[in-house]
Amino acid sequence: MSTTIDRQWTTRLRRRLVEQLPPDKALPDTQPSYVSSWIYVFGVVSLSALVMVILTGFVLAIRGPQWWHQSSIGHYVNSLHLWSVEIFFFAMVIHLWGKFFMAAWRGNRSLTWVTGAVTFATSIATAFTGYVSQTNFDSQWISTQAKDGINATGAGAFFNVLNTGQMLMWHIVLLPLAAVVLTALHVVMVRRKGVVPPFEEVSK
Amino acid sequence: MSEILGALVNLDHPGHYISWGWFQMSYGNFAVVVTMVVTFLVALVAPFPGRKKENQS
Repeated sequence: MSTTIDRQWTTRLRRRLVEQLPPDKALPDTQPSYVSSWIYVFGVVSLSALVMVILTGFVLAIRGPQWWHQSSIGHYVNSLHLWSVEIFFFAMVIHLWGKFFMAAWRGNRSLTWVTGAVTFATSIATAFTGYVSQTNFDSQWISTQAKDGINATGAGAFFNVLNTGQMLMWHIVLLPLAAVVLTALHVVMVRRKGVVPPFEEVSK
Repeated sequence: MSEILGALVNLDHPGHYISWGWFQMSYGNFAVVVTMVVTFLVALVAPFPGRKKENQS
């Protein structure tokens, strides 16, 4: 017989969350021995680079375009933001190759694979809107080159790459929010299902 | 400092491109792709620090 406390939405939600992701799975003490390989490092490198991208992005958002174009420290933070993105994509592509050849969707991990793939696509869009929001000749060149391609898809009706304000809002609000939420879901899926074992471990 | 770093790679010229039929890629992008492939292959074979061999307990 259920009590009043059992029927509370907070109680039911807490029980559901703990059931789906028990604390020892969310923050495990150990990992299987096969995780001791460099190929398993690139996911966490991507995650670390993403943290750096977000932190430097916060600083750039606080100080604004004149600061990042005209001051030495602004150039420095702008470069940190750019190179964090470069490392993010570099590590994420190697992570993707590694997981593809491991067939990391095995063992009921399809949602882990899909959230990773969608995060990758979202990150490309986030980077693109960043390149067209630089407010320099580079961003003018990229946006004028991209507009015809975007317009050919029909997306130009609501996604105008020549509109700096719109691109900046996509870059600093909508797309980073999507990328961070998707990354969090991806990490939760990895924790729930565990790291995919190598083929030889499964056949043992 | 920026002058010293800038002198290492002269960027004051139009970009260089690899062209192969319809395929075209800048040398800079090509270098990044090659570095990624090399890093991927090294990650598969390089020993991981602290990893014990399977026949050791």
